[in-house]
Amino acid sequence: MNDIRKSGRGTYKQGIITKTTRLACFACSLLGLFGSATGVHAQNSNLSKSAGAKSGGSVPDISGIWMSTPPRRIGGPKDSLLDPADKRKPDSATVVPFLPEAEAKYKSANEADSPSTRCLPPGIPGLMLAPIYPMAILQTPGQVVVIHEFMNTVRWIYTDGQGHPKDLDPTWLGNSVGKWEGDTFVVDTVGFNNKSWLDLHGMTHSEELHTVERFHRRGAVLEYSITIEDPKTFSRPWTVHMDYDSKPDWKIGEYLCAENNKDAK
Amino acid sequence: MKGRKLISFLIVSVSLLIWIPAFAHHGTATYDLQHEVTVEGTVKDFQWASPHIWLYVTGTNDKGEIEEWGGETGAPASLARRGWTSHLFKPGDKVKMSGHAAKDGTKVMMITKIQTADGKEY
Repeated sequence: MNDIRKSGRGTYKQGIITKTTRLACFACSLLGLFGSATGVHAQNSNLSKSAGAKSGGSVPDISGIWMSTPPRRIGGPKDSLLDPADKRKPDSATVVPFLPEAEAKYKSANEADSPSTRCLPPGIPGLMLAPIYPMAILQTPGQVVVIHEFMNTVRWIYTDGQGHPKDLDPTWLGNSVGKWEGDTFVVDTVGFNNKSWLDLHGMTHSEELHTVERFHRRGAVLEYSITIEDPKTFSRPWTVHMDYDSKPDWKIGEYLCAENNKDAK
Repeated sequence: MKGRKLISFLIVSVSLLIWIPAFAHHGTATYDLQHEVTVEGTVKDFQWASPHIWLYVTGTNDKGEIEEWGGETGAPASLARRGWTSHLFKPGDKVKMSGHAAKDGTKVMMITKIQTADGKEY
């Protein structure tokens, strides 16, 4: 995958996810797993034996409780997740490669229509944008589980090599499979329904949404990026980067949205 | 309590410099983020529940009219990390509730600060 990296001035370089590069990435991941098992990453202080690999090898430890780091994406209309380094930018279209129809739909969206106002999950990456609610990552053999305090939502990311099922029924969080590319945990997700919003401000998508997330631990910081691809919504894949702080003393609290939801229509 | 002035109602027409990003459940578009409203009165109800904590304050405005304002903030799980508890406010407590009022004129706000009678701020 030709990742889309954000420059220091807040612009994005174009990248393309192709079937060829996906296969290449998968081959890299196999090598990465092998490398992990042989101790290539022994210099990493965050190793966790048997934590995320079915083979029982050592992979970096990204488990724990993590909280998104300011500047956060949510702070005003239409800036959302789109450019976390410069939340003053008012018009998302400057960085998000919307197709014209999708852009018009986004600009006319009413936040009151957000699925989350009916206690439905925000999807991916919406879950990762929660500004005041942490997530817990659990690494177990065969899967990595992400527990989001926001909406009391759980993600299952399968790491046992099962791949995506051929015939997927669309779901809010899609079907996620993960693998290690060196010391980076790479999560590929497909099988989304078209009901979730990518942010809180009305960024809809089609069932062709495909995301690739990368988790990389740097000490007490979890570096994260997500590449978003949806040929029916965007003219090209695009990527957002953000960080999360380790919160070892925190606990995941209860968030039962339906308990006292006054926003449901 | 009849006849006693419970609420002084102020609209502070300054740009917001301090903002508490308390929401994730829904966006902030329904609130006027450019202005802050402060309501001083008596707690009628404190709802410690998800997805948003609600605090209801009643009293009399500067026109002598009884008003009830509802203020919402984040979920208990988040506010607990800031020291809030389910017992923080109880009916009858005197408070000043500040926040961003709804654009549609309804008497609800997105809370930015609560000041209690002893001067503590939350």
